[in-house]
Amino acid sequence: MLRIAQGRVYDPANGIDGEVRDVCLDGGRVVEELPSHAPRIDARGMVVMPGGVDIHSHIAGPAVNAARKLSPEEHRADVLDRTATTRSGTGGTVPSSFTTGYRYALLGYTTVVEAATPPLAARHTLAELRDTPIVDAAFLVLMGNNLSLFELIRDGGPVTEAVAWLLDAAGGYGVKLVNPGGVEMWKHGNRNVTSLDDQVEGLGVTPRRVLEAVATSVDELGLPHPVHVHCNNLGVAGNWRTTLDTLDALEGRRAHLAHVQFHAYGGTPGKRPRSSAPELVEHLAAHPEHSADVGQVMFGPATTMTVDAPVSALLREVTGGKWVNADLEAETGCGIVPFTYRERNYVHALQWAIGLELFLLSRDPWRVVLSTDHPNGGSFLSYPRLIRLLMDREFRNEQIGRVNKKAIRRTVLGDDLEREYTLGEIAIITRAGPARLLGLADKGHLGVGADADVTIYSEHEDREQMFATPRFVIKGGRVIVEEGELREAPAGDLLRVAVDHDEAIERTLAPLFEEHYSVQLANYPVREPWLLEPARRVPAGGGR
Amino acid sequence: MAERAATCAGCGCGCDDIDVAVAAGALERASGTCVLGDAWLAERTGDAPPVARVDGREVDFADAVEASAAILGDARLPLVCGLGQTDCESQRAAVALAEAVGGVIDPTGPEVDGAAGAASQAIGVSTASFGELRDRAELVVTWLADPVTSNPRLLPRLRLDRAGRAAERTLVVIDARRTATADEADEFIELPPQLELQALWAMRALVRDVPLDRDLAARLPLDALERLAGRLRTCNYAALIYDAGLTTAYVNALGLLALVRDLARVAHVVALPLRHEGNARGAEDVLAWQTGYPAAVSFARGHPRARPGEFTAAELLARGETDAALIVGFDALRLLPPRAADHLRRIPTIVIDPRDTETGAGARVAFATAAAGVHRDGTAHRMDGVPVALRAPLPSDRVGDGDVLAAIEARVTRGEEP
Amino acid sequence: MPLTLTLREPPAVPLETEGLAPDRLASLRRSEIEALTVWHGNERAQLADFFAVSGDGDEELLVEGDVRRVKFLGAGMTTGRLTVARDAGMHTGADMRGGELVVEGDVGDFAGTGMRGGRLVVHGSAGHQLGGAHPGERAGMRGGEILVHGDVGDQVGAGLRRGLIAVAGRAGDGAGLRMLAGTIVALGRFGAAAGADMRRGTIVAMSDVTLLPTFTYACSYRPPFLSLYLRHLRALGLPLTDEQIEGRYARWAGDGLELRRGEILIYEGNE
Repeated sequence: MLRIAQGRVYDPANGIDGEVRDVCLDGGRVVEELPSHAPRIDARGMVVMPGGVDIHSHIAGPAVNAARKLSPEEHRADVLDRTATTRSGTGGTVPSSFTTGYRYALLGYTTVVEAATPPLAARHTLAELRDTPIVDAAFLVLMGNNLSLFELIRDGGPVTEAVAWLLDAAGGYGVKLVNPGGVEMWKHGNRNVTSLDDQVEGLGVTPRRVLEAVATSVDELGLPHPVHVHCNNLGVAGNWRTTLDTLDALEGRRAHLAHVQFHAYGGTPGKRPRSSAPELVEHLAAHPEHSADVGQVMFGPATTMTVDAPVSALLREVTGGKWVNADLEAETGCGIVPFTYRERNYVHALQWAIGLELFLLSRDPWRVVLSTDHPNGGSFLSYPRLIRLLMDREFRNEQIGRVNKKAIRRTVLGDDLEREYTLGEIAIITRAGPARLLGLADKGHLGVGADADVTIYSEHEDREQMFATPRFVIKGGRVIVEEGELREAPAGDLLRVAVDHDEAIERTLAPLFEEHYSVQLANYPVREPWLLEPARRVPAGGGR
Repeated sequence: MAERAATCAGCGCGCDDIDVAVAAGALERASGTCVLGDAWLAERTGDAPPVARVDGREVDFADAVEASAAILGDARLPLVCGLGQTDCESQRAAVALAEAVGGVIDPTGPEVDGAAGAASQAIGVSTASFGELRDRAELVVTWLADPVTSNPRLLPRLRLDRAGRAAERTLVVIDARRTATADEADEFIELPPQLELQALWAMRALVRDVPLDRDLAARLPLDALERLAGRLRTCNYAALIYDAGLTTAYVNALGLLALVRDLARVAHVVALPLRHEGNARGAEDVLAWQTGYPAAVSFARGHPRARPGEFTAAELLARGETDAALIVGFDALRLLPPRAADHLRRIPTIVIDPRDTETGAGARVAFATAAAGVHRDGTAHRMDGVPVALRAPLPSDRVGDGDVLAAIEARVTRGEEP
Repeated sequence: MPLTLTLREPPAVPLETEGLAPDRLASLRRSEIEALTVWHGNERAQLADFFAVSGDGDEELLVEGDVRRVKFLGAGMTTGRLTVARDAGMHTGADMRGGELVVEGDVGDFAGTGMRGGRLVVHGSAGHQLGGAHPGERAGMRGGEILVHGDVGDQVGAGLRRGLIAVAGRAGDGAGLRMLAGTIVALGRFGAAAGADMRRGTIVAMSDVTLLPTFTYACSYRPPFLSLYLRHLRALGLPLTDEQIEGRYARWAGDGLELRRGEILIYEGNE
């Protein structure tokens, strides 16, 4: 039992915008009322929000781990000691698993979505998530370059059943498409697709068909989270047209676009990009079935880590430094390049500015939510600074003055966009919005019955400082963080979707599986309780 | 008699298509295994030593745990090593214990990815899973590696053996002598190991059209390398297979990975490191996700620090810098270099192993456990990184490696409290 | 008498002593020095538990006793002079930025890693990765001088970006591996793969070298800058002959895989 008394509560999902009131927690849930003797936190003068929800991050699995191995120099400079309550670890842009959990919690985040797991590697991701304490975590299952699905799509087979089966086999939460068709082409002699209608050679599908088929299946299954799309042509000048084509192709179907900043570039391929953020914002405003996270770039060190392996090969040529490529049979690829975003660099400054444009021009904060595509655009540790950029116009303009001027001229940021996000809007883009887009009914709000995940901030004029060091973080009703110190570090839950499939799908998949995989079909689904528990199943509804 | 599915962890192939026939709780026969798999099973299904021994005498499990905790608690720099033949779950427990006792942990098998792992931290790596090599690689080159001997089922599984290989696919073997793998190849290129560096740099030059000094390269089989470089450049998908255990010199490992990187700019080229132990890859992966580093990690100062060479088990032991050792699933006395083994004989050791080994027999404390993949479910990472489920086709009333490690950790951690 | 730290007896496991540098100790009182943290394996201890402290020096520090297992001596030092009377352990002079560090005996692996300035003199031999890079980092030593009177192990000057490493004896494999600039001189033989993937910089060899085939012969000449360098090294105590200083060198350009702007100069004689 815990009463958070008399804080200023921001609970946008329940229409509460800075009202001073009590929030009562009991049994891991928000409750209506508590007896007066219940323990309390005196939150007078403090800001109370639901725990943060990260809709798109890379925190666990083989790609993340390859990135860890790649950068010992980052770890050496950033270490965490073992304490009575915590395991030791290392940080940098790709922290060790325990550190990831602690640092998210210290930032007031209590739910994180790992955005890219190949089902074949689900055991690895699950094992890492088990070692990522405190936060409840879900992962999205990669299906955009899956050879078995390609064959079913081409032949009009039972795609929906296969999608359901894959989700269940992996223990995943939602469906992710990354450069559909393009990663497969990368494995055909380093090629790629450049439009939705390019043929994926030898497979009889196009990116468009993959997008349409999988998005339709996700809708049919009524998954809590729509298809999560990393569009084709990431990072290429002029790619906003591909992004728009993708959204047009998905019109009428629900879809979430990942890190849309990386897909909002005008100009001509091969030439200097400019911003096309306004055009994409227009589309999103007109299409309530579509949403996006921004994928903000923040200056400083990052690690680009993507399933989109052809993009990674381009970045390798930019940096001339370390590069990892990892092809995973029948399902996906992976590319990793450590990267630093610099204020003076035209492209980097443009990327930074486009992200801010997307935030500032967006008319519906519920559908354009915060991410840095951690660690691609920057570490999740930079969220507080990003929040300050959104809330503090003076600070923002000062920062705009520091970066590459030519880049700013290619955006509307130089027009002194006046918007300043309110605390209510920040609560939307960092918790209520992502939770709603994810279909997590118990997350991102403080209504009765919600998970007792609460973050309490001390008011501070410097919003970066305020959001970097919550006064209290409560997870499942337990006070985890107090004054920047971890008090305890319990395990979080795995959030997975509960979706039925027809058992007959295994007979359809068996020959495809035999052809494409080097493991046995019977061993592919994860059934090990120690990898899957403790889990909460979020039911798929709707569709069927 | 019952047929049970199993995954073999006898080498880094992680074959998950094994059937084990069990009668009266004992292994009757296994099908699908290779000679290494049969040996792996046999070593784990023979007569087992007592569950727990201290100084060679059978003791209660709890007493052995107590003795282990005492040894580790007294040690100023205990070493945790081995790890390549147990499951990821036990490796996880081993890292936790190493941290709790402020020790050094380093996956130490007969063949660990020491040099190549360190080299990949300098330049990265391009790699792929088995299925990609099987279905896409038109040209496969084994570089001073003999998978037919070290990983007998690998070539058939990749359809690269002579019998299974499609006509349009090519296998080239580069090695010091005609190996069993060379017998399966389309072409064998003889390369004395002392010329490996020269050959790697020559290959890189040929691939990138960098002028080559023909006099300096005079001892190399240059015509054959030139033909090979040309083929690698023009294929759609090629793979290099090397032996992580034999690639022990850092510069050579760097050259090999650099060759792959250079090639990857003109063609789709990946490298696959052969791993001899069933879960050597998993040990690095678990260590990396828990600490940020794949090997040679010290927790002495309360947080992870890594330095190959300094905290590499064999070298730490050879310098006599550790005062106790806990060895998981590794016959260290038999397999470590003599100087390292000598030091191991001088310090108190704890051995956790399902097998009866020389190292276990000489240990201060020895636990004989239920074997991962034979008596215990678990997870292993194949040499290509793909996680596979280990099954338990046989029953056992013993606990697994991870249970022992967790019991010791619980005892040590309890001791920490005031 | 300089400030003297005398190790009473060799520790059972390595002793880590980050910050034992003359500049840091100069500003501390005796009691503060004695209370400095050292790590004996996993045990946090005080300096006085292991060392007797005597004398007092103004930025002059002497370390005596068997410190082969003492790590990080002089790491990060910026000014002053540190003398290790016998063999020193690993990481000696790592990340040093200035001052002079003299080891009368041998020094362990990773000495001078990431060094940015100052001078490290080793009268005995050095281990592997002398003046090298921290794991994962592209650049190694970024400035300063290292002088070794004995031999050095593998990968001396790996990733060297600026500075000078001179060795009177032999160098192991991979000398100047991936070096970016700077100079490495060895009077004895080089192991395999000298200058592998070097981008710029100079490796000077006084005896024959097995070159990688990606190096190409450029010319044979008397490099004027080299005689200046070598004179400087002789003044520091490196046993160079007049013939070597004034001599003729074969210039091999490489590594062809990395711009070919580096060079290996091989002494040919002085005819």
